[in-house]
Amino acid sequence: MEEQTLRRTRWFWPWQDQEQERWLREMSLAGWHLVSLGFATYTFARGEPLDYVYRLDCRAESKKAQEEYLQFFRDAGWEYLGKQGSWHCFRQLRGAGDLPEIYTDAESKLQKYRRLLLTLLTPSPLSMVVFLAAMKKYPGRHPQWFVIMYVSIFVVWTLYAVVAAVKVLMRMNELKQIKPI
Amino acid sequence: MAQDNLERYLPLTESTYYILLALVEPLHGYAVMQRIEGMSEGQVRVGAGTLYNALPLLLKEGLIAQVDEDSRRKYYHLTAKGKAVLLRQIERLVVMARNGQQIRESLG
Repeated sequence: MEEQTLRRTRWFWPWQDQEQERWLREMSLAGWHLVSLGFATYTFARGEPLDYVYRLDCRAESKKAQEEYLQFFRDAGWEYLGKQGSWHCFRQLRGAGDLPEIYTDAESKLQKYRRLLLTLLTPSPLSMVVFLAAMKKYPGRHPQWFVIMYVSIFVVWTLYAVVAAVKVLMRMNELKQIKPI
Repeated sequence: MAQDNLERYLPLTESTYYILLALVEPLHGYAVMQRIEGMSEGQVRVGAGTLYNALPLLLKEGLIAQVDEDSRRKYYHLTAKGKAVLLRQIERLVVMARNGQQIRESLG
């Protein structure tokens, strides 16, 4: 008997949203439809090959605002598959004509990447602020290994965020080039 | 209301222009998208994300207002200010279209 579900582990960097959308569509065209997504893991169910078009949106919102947001997209014909980090995953069957899009002008695409920049660049400096406040409040109470560990994590984390931010800024720059003149 | 304040909104982007056109009657988000696609004969499409970004902005600027909320959906309607902006935009477009037509005729 053929396998009915498939779990795949695959890592996408934060600037690879379009690659991820394309991959999910190819999976659907091959008869594997996304059921749920987690941290670098994707679960697919076997079915008829269908041309599902997947779109990822970056948005971090309160619970109430999120409900409204999801309802808005559902009304517009988007099926919601779940959230990973601040990425929401939607899909829609391709009809006649152009590919369905959630963003139809350059400005709103840029806004999406501006939100992504914010979610990339805020957490690590914020953690440093909390760390320094804790150091100040309880001086001499932090073992050296803890400080070394935190600082190493901070450095790696910040490097990752900066590299990702540069990549996202490059994408935004491309979008600005194709903006209507 | 200082009339000249409205000039800073002009020219409207294509999306904003069509959103305001659609909201001459109260509609909820999805209906706005359908109306735009229908009225532009499929030439203009405003995606869910684009509209979802635009509505709070237009609300903040007072060009549209929320009129009603059923259990799940918010309805929006053009305000007097929004109408004034829209009329100016239409005026601009009429001139632009006329200019284009004149040139097209001269080009034969």
